[in-house]
Amino acid sequence: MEFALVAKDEEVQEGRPLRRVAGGVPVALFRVDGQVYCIDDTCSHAYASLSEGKVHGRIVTCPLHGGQFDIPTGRPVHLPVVEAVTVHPVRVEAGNILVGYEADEDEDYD
Amino acid sequence: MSQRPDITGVEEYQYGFHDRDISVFRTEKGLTRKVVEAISAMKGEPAWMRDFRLHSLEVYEQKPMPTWGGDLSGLNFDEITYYVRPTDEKGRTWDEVPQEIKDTFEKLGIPEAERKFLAGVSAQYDSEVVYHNIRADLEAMGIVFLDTDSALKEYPDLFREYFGTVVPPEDNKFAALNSAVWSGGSFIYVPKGVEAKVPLQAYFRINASQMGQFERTLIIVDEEAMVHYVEGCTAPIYTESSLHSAVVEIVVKKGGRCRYTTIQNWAPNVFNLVTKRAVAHERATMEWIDGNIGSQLTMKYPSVYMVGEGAHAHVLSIAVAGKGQHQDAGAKAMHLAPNTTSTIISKSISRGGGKTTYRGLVHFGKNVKGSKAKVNCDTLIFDDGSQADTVPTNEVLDNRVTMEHEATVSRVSEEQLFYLRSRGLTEEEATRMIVMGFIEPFTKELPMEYAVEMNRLIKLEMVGSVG
Amino acid sequence: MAHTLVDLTPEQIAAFAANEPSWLQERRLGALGAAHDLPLAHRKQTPLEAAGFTLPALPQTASVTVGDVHDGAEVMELTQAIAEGTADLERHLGRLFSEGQDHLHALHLATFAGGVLCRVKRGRELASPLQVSIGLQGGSLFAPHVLVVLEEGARADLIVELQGEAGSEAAVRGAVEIVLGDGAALNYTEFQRLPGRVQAYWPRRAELGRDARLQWILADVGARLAVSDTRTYLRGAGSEARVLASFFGGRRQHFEFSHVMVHEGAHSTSDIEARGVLQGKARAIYSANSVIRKNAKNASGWQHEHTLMLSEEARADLIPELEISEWEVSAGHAASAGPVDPMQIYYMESRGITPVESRRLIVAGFLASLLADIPLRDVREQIADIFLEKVEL
Repeated sequence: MEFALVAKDEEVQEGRPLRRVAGGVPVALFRVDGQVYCIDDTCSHAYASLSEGKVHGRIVTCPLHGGQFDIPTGRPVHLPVVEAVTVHPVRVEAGNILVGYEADEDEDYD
Repeated sequence: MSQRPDITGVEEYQYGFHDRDISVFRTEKGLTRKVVEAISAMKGEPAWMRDFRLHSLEVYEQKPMPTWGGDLSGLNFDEITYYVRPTDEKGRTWDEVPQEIKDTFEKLGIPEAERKFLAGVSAQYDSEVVYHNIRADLEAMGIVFLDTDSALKEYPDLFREYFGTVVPPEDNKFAALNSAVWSGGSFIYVPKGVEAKVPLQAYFRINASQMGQFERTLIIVDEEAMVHYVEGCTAPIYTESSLHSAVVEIVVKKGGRCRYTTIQNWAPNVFNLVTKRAVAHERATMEWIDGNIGSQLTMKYPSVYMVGEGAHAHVLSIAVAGKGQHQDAGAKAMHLAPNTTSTIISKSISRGGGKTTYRGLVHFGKNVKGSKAKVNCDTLIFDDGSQADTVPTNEVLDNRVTMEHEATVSRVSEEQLFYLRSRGLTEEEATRMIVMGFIEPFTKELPMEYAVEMNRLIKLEMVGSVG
Repeated sequence: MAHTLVDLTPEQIAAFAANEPSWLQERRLGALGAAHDLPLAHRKQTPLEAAGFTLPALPQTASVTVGDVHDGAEVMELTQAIAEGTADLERHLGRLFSEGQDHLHALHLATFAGGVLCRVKRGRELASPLQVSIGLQGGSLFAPHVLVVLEEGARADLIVELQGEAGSEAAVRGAVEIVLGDGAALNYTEFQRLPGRVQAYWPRRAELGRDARLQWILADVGARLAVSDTRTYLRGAGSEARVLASFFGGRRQHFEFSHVMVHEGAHSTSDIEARGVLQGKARAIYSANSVIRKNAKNASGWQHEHTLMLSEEARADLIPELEISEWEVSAGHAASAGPVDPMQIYYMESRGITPVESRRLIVAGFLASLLADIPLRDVREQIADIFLEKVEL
């Protein structure tokens, strides 16, 4: 697991998701009850951007078809989304937000 | 007495807020917040439903029109009346009904009493007695079968538990529209273990309060229960409205079975945009039998979300598009649990310049070991100027499944025609036989009286005399 | 989200193309202008914006090695062909990318660097295959252009290999164009064996004259990200096009391939046969479309696509489409996806065959029918070898 610096702590506000890229993967940052969470930005249903969705408590509603995810766990909680989105571990260090992602293995062919 | 609320969207308003007996009720054309509030007020709905409608209106306004599917440019949203109380539908006299329509009823063998209703002459079928008897039988079994408006009042908790959970207003623009202005439709609840032996019909397809441009149907089949619901009509449905935007939500619980049969033959000016979705739990079976004939444009993709292990989905659909018509239909099978199976059979006919599009999705999620899907879509393209498209998507996220898909597009086989003609059939008769053979997987699943009408309808269609 | 990424200026292009004839400089500048206006084609599942081939930089020239060339054919490095003013260049270069052009096509046409020109003269039938190897050596962005022109009645086999030095993280923004005159016939074989971290955007176009025949024989195994859309225009009556495509993705490879056949000529026929193998966490989005336009009487368009998924985490999206606007035609497709049959593995292991060998045998069996249709034995064997070598436990 690698970590990428994606934002400053104060940039992530309650109810206002932030889109960033970590390790080539678009991610969405949320602050829920004071804590910062990070999930894949790309909805598992039809690939819309979750950071453009509405947030109520710990639920984010995808703007495209209304599916909902539980932010801390990435789990789908309302149709039409049915598959979880990846949760990225978050570290806050010295006012910076670092987000974990799986790095590619070495992939050379001959 | 409290102040009269401001309901300036209503043409005539004679009585107080809580009195539903209003002599004439029709909202002004076009869709505004006032219109939505008026609808909810007129129906005497609880606050949560009014708020749901208003939220849906916002969603509807924010969502863009779809850029895929059919051509919606002919729809003028400002010209639509979003609510007309069924008994106040402005009818026409029997003399005003076009001869073509009368002839069609004759040829299809539509009962006399139904003809007037279908032609927009009469607002109600005069057979209250029959209706009450059917209802009594169902009540004895514990089955709830009502129009949706009444269900909201009589079964508020059950209703609220399921309503909007299968198709949220955000799902698509037309689901949002329906969610804002819905009226009519059917509500069915089948208790655990109860099997409805006789198909339930939308009051034999002619109950005004169960039919309408924005009907909303909700069916809940409890564990191990079974129901077959039938709606629609092969006769062309005359309507002054050009938009039919319905939502059907179905929940089939463990071991339950539900079959939903529709045949629709909307008049050629109608845009038929429907969201039909079912959730099937463990070992549940959901079947959509869907016949799309008529309308200017139909966009409809019956879906099944198989969320429980061992669930099954079957979709059997036909689409016939003639001159100036576009049937953009299909199915979605979402495999979200292990050992789920789906079959999709789609038969389309494009003729006289019509266009059919099969649009489907088969999705296998990450943990669906042992699941299987089979899709078969075939199109007969009859003649010059007709078009056929097939746009299927298959998403496989778990390799422990089997996915098979086949499709063909072809003209009526000359060999078959030759053979039948050499046996003395006319070209028209031979063509009709081939077409009947082509759609046989569908017609054999229909209740008898529909199958009979279907045969007649195809006969008429082949002659080209049906609207 | 569609957006353009071009910071290149006309001056930079003019300097880049300083030694080229004016017709080509103008064409490049026109393409640069188009790139400014055209959006990036939106691909839901493949984030092109994050990929290296959208870099608004000027590419290095890929190295091109050409095998023996026989009488009747010309095969030369493209820069050289431009310098020599070879016939057909001005007429054909970039022409087939004008329909349905997107941002990357335009960017490529503005900035392509090097590549291959292959021409076969009227009526010549080449006895042995032409071979070309295109390699990425030291550099971060390459944009080779392959142009193949067969005059009337010419017949040839062309084998192209795309490769590069191990560890390369370059991006490739290339293109292939094939023009077949009436009665011409070409077997175009391509081995895509790019290094494992390369990202490649590799669209292909072909135009077939009357009774012309084209077989695309494609083997895609390399690159971290490969996006390739192949479009064949069957313009001439009686033209025939066939695709024999094989791909093998493993680890975290991401492939997005599409094959489109556009039928305009009467009695034109197309057949797309694709077989893909996926393992590890690889992902493939494969789509095909048989488009039969009005008046393409008696045209026939068929597709068969099958995917063998060796691992649970692989993902395949199959989208076989048909767009039929003419009634006297025949068209259809079949697609399937599934795992290795556990019974087969059991059977083989009980005969003492190791698990990896068992999988190899299954992959070999899976490919067999596709390979059988490939006319060149060496090509068949090479594809089989590449695939079997790639099978992991």
